[in-house]
This record gives sequence, structure tokens and C-alpha cells, in this order.
Amino acid sequence: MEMETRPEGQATEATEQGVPGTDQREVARTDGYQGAREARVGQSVQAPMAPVTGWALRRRKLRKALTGPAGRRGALGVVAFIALWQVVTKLDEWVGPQVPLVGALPAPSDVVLRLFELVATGGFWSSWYLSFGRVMWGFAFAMLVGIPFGLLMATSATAKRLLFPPFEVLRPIPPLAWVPLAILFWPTQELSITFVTFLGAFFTVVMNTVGGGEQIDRRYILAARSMGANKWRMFRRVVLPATLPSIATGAVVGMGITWEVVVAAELISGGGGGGSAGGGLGFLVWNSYQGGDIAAVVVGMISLGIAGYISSILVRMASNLTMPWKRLA
Amino acid sequence: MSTQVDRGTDGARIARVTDPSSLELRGVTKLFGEGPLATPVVQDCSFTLESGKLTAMIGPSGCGKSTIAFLVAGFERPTRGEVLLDGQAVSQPSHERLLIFQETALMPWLTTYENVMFGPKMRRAANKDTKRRAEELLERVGLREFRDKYPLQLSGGMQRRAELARALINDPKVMVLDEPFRGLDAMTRVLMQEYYSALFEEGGRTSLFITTDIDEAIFLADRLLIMTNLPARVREVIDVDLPRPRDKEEVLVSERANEIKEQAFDVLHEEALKSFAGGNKAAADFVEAYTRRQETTD
Ligand SMILES: Nc1ncnc2c1ncn2[C@@H]1O[C@H](COP(=O)(O)OP(=O)(O)OP(=O)(O)O)[C@@H](O)[C@H]1O
Ligand SMILES: [Mg+2]
Repeated sequence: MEMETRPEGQATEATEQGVPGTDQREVARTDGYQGAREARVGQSVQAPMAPVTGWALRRRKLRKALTGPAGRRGALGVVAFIALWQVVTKLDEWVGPQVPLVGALPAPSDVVLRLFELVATGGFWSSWYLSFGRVMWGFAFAMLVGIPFGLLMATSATAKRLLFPPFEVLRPIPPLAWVPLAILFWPTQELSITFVTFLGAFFTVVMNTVGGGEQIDRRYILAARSMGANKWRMFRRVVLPATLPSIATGAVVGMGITWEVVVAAELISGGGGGGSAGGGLGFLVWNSYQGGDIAAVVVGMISLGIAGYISSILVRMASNLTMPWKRLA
Repeated sequence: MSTQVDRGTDGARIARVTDPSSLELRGVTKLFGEGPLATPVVQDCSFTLESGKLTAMIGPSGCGKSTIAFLVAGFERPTRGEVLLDGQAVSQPSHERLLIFQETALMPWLTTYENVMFGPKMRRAANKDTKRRAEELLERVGLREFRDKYPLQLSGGMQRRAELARALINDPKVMVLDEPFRGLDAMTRVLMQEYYSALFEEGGRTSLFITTDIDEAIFLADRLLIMTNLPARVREVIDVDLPRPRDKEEVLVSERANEIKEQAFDVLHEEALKSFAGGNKAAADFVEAYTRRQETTD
């Protein structure tokens, strides 16, 4: 998907400047031909068109996403969904009969009102802060430990024979089954929750790193060997960059799992204190449910959705930074 | 090995090899598999890459050509026999014998320039001189404007030229190109042949060019090695005594080139027939194409 970005951007540029819309591959290849011919007759190769890069490209894409037909249809979909939800849940108030099942849910208007009340409380924000902190710490440690661990198993057959069997036995254990032990083992509740979150991402990160490291195209390794790479430079300049895309995939998936895990861990552990709306977003959902405050449950759920979305954007941004060749801008 | 630098017709600096090396395969056998399952892929194969010459190896698909390329590069060791560079047995990969793989093997995470500088960097030999040489090579292969692009942003032909530059900067004594232009469209392929031919004529570096395309082989080579079917051995050596520098169109209509082609075809045809009898699909295709060709020329 990322690979598509540049040609699209350039094709747009070309049409905007009145150049007949040529396929990017075609443009590049024509330049190549000239390269071959001209180098013989001694002329220089023509400069290619300046590509649209970085923020300019991103801004253009964003504008297109918001105002283009796709953006308009997307917005329409969201509005229609909320309107339908409002009608279905308010039908008993407005007309009389309650719609079965969904009629008992809070209406969007009630959720928005409850949201305004909640954002005014410190507890709501402390829940955001707590859950985000647990996820980020757990995730960071999972990366910090998981990547070297995975790379070790990918590059050393001995290490893999030694470490992989116990790893494979521990891997299928659901992170939630670790909660009791984690509470016993770690001195504070906070550490226990963070540890369970760590486990959620750790196994995924390791599996992806090992898989990526083992699937490196053999020719990269051979080419580097014949050009005289020693072990360290082979690792640093070939193995590591070749494994990065798999590590990034592991990170994106792992980040998703940490959010699932943190919510459950907060439910089980009781949130670690912090008032009615505090104690983490997962705790907020559970606690509101027990108090019969269904609108707050929905506020908590939507908060979790937004928080998960933000963190996956952060992971993607970080992976784009480490892999400029994947951006191709 | 030393190189002498002078100016080519287009003003670019050209490194010409002054004392080219020679490489010999002496009685090389390569078995794949263990014990009773071991099957020979290369059997008692001997040939010499003469110094400063371009030798083309041509043989049916799957006959063991890539295996020979791996043996020369030192990625595989012969089960029996020796690979000798200037009389010295070799057993390890080295930048003195570089292989250009069948499909592009540029590092996708490095820009064109970084790819070219990869070899010197790996040997901690990157300095002002190699950096200047990298720029010159990029200029020479027509990729100066693409020096900061990543391989995925280059067309197939450009990738192949970047790879030539990446190998040449290491000043290899022997270069092996394993079907380097396979997978390129017909037009790009012809241009790449002309391009490579010019590069070789400038540099005079001992080279082995592996191909399944007989026209390509005759246009490029000083000598043809025609291989047998699996297990690979040299079936016939044909000298291609066409004058250099060569021009693709001239070679196409040249009487001598067509004689050589007939000669090579006859040998290849026999080999293909043999493996056709053994039920080889590629050989069957070859026989069919050959028969059609005979019909049109007669
Ligand atoms: N590492 C290996 N282990 C076992 N068999 C192998 C190995 N490498 C190659 N072979 C076998 O050796 C034979 C020759 O392979 P090779 O790739 O050298 O042929 P080729 O002439 O280069 O073919 P192509 O034209 O398809 O490139 C094939 O039958 C292949 O299956
Ligand atoms: Mg091959």
C-alpha cells in the first residue's frame, strides 16, 4: 500500500502541470533508456521531475481524503450511523414502543452530555493517563526485550534450540492467566498490570522478529559476504534492516494486543484506585457498568477506541521514521 | 591487480584493467544431497575463463549453471576438483570474484549511492577515492540523477545497472553474471546488452556471462561454453571471432555471427533432444522452437 504513494503523487503532479498523465514506471524507464543511449554518445541524462515529498504530499493527501468523494461518503456514513443510533434509542421517549435489544442503550446525545461531564473531572483524564502509561511502558519493554531476544534466536541456531522450546510453551498462555501470579510477584499493582501488558506484546514481537530474521533473502547475505562483511557489519547493515519490516508488523499487532490486555488487567485488578472515573479506561468502563451509568460505559469504550487508534498511528509513524525506503517519498 | 585510468570518448573516467586475471575450473564435481541420495549437478567440469575475455555460458534451463556461478563465487565448495584464480585455489567468497544474481539483489533499504558504496563500507575501505569512484560509476551507468532513490523506485533496467556499478567499485578480478537480463522486457534487454558490452570493452575485466539466449551470448562473448544437460559439463567451446567494438545491428546481419549461431544451435539441439527423451519440459519447448525456426529458414 505504501508503495503506491509516490507514483500516485507524481502522476497528479504531472497532470497538474499539463503533462499528459503518464504512468510513473513509464517515465522512469524512458529515463533509463536515455541513460543507456546517451552515456554512449556523451550527453548527460535529463533530470527527472521533482517529486512531491514530505508534508506537501501529506497535506495534499489529507485535503483529498477530507474533501474528495471518498471523504464525503465516509462522513455521510458516520453521520447516518449516529442518527440511526439516536432514533433507535430515543424511540420509546418520542413515540412509545421500545426497540428490542438496542433500545436499552444510551442515546448519542446522552453519551455526549455524559462526556462533557466527565471531561470536567480529573478522574477521567487520570484514567487516560494511567492506561496510556501502562500500555506504553509494557509495549516499550516488550520491544526492548523482545527484539534482541528474537534477533538472537534468528541468528544463532544454538540459541534457538535452547530458548525456543520454553518460549513456545509459555506463548499460548493467555496474558490474563498471568494476572494472579503477576500480582503476587510484583510489589505494586501498577507493576503487575504493566507486566501483563508487556506479556501481551512480547510474544508477538518475538515471533515476528524471529520470522523476519529467518526469512532474509539469502542473496543479501551472500552479496555482503563476498564484499567482505564481518559478523558485526553483517548484522548491523544487513540482518537488522532486512528484519525491520517484520519487527514493525510485530509492533503494530503487539500494540493492539496491549490495549486488549490492559483493559482486562484493569478489570481484574480493580484499577489500582483513583476514584470513580479514575483507575484506567478499562476500570472506568467496568466501574460505570457496576454503578449503572451506561452512558459513561460508552464514553469509556469510545475513549479506548480513540486511544488505540492514536497509539497505532504513533507506532506507524515510528516505523516510517526507521524505514525511509518504505515511504518512498 | 592494477587499473589504469583514462578518459573515454564521452569524457568519463574509465578504469581499464591492465593485467586481467584468469580463472579455471579443474575437474569440478558438485553433488547435492547426502549419501545414496546425493546427485551430481556438476560433473567433472573443466574450463578456463581467459584473462580479459568475456566468456558466455549457455545451456538449457536447470542444467546447473547457477551452481557453477556459486562455485566460482565461493558460495559453494566443489565436492571434487578445484576452482583456481590465477593458479591459486579458492574456497571462500571474496570481492575478487563477484556474482551478479539472477534477480536483483540490491539492498532495498539503501539508496542507489549507498548500494554502490556497500562493498567499500563492508571492508572499511570507504574513503575520498572510493566515494569519487562511486559518483563516477553512477554517472557512467546513467544513474546520477537517481543516486538518492531507493531500488524500488528504479525500473528493472536501472536496477541492473546499479548492480553493475555496485560490483565494479570493488574492482573484482572476475565478474560472474548469472542471467542478469532475465525478466527484463525485450527492449530494455537489448539496451542493457549494448550497455554491458560497452562497459566490458572499456574495462577489459575477465567475465563469465551466463545466459539461455544464444543471440545475447554471441553478441557479447569472446568465447561460448555450451553446456550439457544435468549434470553440467562443457559440451563444446566456440570462439566468437567477431571484431570489437560490436554493434548490435551489425552483429545481427553478420555472416560469421550466423555461422556461429548455426554451430551452437546444432550442439544445443542435440543436448535438448537428449533431455527431451528424458522428459524435460524446457527441452521440449526448445525442440519445438528449434523445429519452427528450421522451417522458416529453409
Ligand atoms: N542447494 C541445492 N540443493 C539441492 N539441489 C540443488 C541445490 N541448488 C540447485 N540444485 C539443483 O541443481 C539443479 C541445477 O540448478 P541450477 O540452479 O544450478 O540450474 P540453472 O542452470 O541455473 O537453472 P536456471 O536456468 O533455471 O537458472 C536443479 O535441478 C536444482 O534443483
Ligand atoms: Mg540459474
